[in-house]
Amino acid sequence: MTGEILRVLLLVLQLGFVALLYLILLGFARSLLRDLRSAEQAQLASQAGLGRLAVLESPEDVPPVGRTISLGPINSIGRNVNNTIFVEDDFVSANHAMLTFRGRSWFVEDQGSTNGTYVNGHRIDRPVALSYGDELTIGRVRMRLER
Amino acid sequence: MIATNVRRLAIYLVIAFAITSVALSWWQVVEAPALAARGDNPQVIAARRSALRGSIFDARGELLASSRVADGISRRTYADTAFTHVIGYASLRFGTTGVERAWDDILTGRADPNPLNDLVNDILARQPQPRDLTLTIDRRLQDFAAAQLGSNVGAVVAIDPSTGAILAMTSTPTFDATPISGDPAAAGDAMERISEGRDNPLVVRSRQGRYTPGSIMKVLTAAAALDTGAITPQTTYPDQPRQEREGFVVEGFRVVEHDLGSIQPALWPLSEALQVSSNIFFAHVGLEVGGETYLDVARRFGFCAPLWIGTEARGLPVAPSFITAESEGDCTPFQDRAELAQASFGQGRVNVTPVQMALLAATIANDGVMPQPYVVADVRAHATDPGGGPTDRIIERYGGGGGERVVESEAARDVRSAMVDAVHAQLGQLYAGGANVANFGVPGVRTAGKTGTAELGGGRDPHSWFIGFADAEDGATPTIAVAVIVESAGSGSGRAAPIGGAVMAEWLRLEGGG
Amino acid sequence: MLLPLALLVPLGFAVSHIARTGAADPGPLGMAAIYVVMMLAAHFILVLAGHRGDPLLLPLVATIGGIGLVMLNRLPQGLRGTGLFGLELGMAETQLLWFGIGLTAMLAVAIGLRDDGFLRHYKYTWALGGAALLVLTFLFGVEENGARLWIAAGPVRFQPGEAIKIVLVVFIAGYLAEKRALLTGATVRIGFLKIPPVPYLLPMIAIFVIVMLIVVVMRDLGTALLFLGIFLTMLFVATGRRSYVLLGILLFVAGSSVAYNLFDHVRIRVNNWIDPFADVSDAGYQTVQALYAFGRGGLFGEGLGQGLPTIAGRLPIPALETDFIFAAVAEELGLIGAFALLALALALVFRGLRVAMLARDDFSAMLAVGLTTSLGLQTLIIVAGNVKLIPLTGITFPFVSYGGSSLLASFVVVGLLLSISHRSSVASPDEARAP
Repeated sequence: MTGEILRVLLLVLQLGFVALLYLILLGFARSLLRDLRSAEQAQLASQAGLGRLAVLESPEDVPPVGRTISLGPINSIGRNVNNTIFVEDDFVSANHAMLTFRGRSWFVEDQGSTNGTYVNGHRIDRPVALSYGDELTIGRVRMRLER
Repeated sequence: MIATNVRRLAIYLVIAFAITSVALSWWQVVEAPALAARGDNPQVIAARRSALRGSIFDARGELLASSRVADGISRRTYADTAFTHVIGYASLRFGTTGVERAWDDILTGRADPNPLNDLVNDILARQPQPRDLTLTIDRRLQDFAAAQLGSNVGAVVAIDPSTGAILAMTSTPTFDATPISGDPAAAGDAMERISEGRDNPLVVRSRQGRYTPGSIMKVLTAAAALDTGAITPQTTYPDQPRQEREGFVVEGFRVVEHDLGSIQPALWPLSEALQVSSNIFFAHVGLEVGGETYLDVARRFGFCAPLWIGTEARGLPVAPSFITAESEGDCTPFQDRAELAQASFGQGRVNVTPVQMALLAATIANDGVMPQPYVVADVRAHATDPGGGPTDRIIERYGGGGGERVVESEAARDVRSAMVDAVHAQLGQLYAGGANVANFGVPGVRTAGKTGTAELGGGRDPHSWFIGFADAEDGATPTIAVAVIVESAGSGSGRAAPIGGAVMAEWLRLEGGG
Repeated sequence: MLLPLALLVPLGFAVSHIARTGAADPGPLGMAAIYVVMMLAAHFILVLAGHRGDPLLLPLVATIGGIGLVMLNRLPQGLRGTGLFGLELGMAETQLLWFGIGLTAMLAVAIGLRDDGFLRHYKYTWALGGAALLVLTFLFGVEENGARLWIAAGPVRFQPGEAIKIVLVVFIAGYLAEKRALLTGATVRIGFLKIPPVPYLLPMIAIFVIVMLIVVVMRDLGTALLFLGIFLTMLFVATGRRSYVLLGILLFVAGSSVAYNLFDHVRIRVNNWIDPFADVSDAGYQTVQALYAFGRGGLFGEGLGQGLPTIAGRLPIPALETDFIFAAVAEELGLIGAFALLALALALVFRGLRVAMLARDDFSAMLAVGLTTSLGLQTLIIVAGNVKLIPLTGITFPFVSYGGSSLLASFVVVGLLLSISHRSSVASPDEARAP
């Protein structure tokens, strides 16, 4: 192969490398944009609720383990059926706790229950702010606050 | 909410990446040419160190300069020291001068005379292809001229009046440029030795030397006067014979005639005045022309501005010649009539280069049309074995075109006639007779010429000048015009004239197949 | 999509070979083949393990790493290397080996890490661990080029800075996730700046002090800047308060001015940044040579395999294979190539941030942010240093620069991101409101 032809071939290959690079890049860009749009929609959908409670432990299975409960701005938790979140457990008081969303955060407040409300294993004696991922224990039922 | 903050963070990061991209573009695109021009750029250094350089040949294909790459360094060898000041040198340590400098990009192949080729080379990133050059100078004439100057300090410039091709251009003393154009490590000592040489061998006297011209300036004065109609070939000045003895007072300055020897002062018209080289006559003529007109004509001849052998874009620079003092690159107007009178016979503040004076002679020889001088005849494909002569593939041919009319044809003819008399006529022979080419074995040819003995003052020996051309026979086309200067060598007739005659004779002989 | 990806590295190897030897054959493609096979294998392992994490992370890493490998292969192989079991490995081969190790670590973390409890709950343990590593480096560190970055343990040399980086991110993520509300809540105002209440300031000040210590002791300005950047970014994401970031930057500037006046090596770096041409042959040499490389590259580059003129047998830019690998890419592939690389790095950052956005809980989100920021800021700092936007620092371009420690750490980071992203994708079976 003469030097001239080889030089041209090399040039073509070099340009080809960069072109291939851009092809890949554009492929990624397209996926990214697609995801961005659907991710936003997913975000909005999951924030139609302000949060959810994932039920981790529930010996009486009310609410059942594995369920995620959508939360409103104000939720009452207790053994009384009129509560927003009905929990069946002997160690849960009729009106056990209040879970409210104020400003930018969730707050949980014990309603003077017999056995107390626990956040991440610590018993609370006043209203406490909750972060997503925190675990709430009412009686023997353990739940986790999620987005 | 974390999600919102993450989104904000994403925007900030994009901005940061964008700013970085701008900085990147700045260095890769905007500043790139400036970076590439810097001397310590390794690419420039590496390329220059081992760049193969094209060869330079004389008009008949004899090798004058060639390169070979040894140990990663490109080494240049120069074959003939008579050409040193024309070709210059290409030294890794000391840079480039002369033709090596003006044609550097073509010799190394970094640029191509054809701009389309240039672009294609750039895109394909082709290895630079060096090119060879052919000069207009015939080595035989150049060597002859250098030999004529011998151990004297001076210069010889010879031009073909009709084409402007430089036939010879040599400056002495000269030096061998090979030691400084090889290994940069050894170049320093070699340069030191050269620069310590007697009489400054590094100076390019033919193009950069500025000298008082003396009587050769009378050719310009005559041409200006005839062209503007200030005089005719028959004009005389009644006071002139008396003033030859007593001197001619101009505004308090006394113009004195040079020693006429045995010649008796008489009423002389142009031809005789030129033959005898009468200062008095030409002082009158100059005053008659007038200061402003004189400078105008001079400028047309190329005075008061830099000249170029080649073009300004690619050529050898020639220092400007001045008639009066210099101001902002141009000649100032004459201070008074005394200065004008002196300038008319080439004294006072006049200083000229040999190239300028050769051009003056060539213009007279070429019927009043000043040719555009050039020294590179063509660019050729590189011959891989320079010893075997140049290739036949000519890539670009130069020169030989154009030329501006400076004075009327009739004026030129009258000056030419007077210059022929200055060599051949009874009175003229006493001064410029030594330049007659017949003395040098070329009979039957008329030589035109003018000698000059430039007074320097201060007890120094005057410069010896000669300008002329041949064949100056009526109806013949002169094929060579010369300017010769020998520094501080005494009278023009003594040294410069014979050299001029010999060089012209040699050329005529070579042309005729000698 | 898979085909262009698989073609990229072999093509790059072939082009380099043709350019170097002038022969018309593609040359040895063994390494390229191994690389492609490794990446494909990792991809399939993830698929087989039922991994539901972000599908673009690995391909992005593979592309970026591929460019790096092509570049390292194109450079003289004798620059770096290791001896393993009697085998002499050149630079690209060693990097390939570390790619293998890194991929393995990434897979282990991505698939094996099911429960992040031990990360989340033992944050102070992590912090102590990081501090211990730092002290170890201080005491036993090997000094190289004026910085004490390495610990030699027998035949192995590794950079604890990389491990400390990850440890730090884990600690900060845990801390901020927990204290987030408190930090966002009550503040003290000084002028227009909001400063978090004093008790919660302490860990932050501790961080600041550690950062400045790193500068002094280890002379590792790059890592110091990176840590500070990561911390401030995570603080911003956790609280949304720009004023905290501003305060942090102010403190940094103040600290830097002090450092500039007190320490020679800082002064040299800064002066060199402002005008590298003032001392071309000595202090400014690296910076200037890099700028020349960028200039030579121009818009389209000198061509893969055709750039980088050697000066007396040596490469023009010192540390070309580590700190200045980006300059090498820019020189040979031009502005368009370098820009593509930057865009890919940015895409990787975006994917990481997306993982953070979709995370199920605060800790995972913060962790993802921190990890992504570490990759993104590291890239930014080294590229900005190359183009003289900020002073030069000695950190690596993730996945591109030569260096086992850096590669391994970067892969662990990606593995963690994959793990977080996987757990976010495991959707809860049903959603219901209580009656």
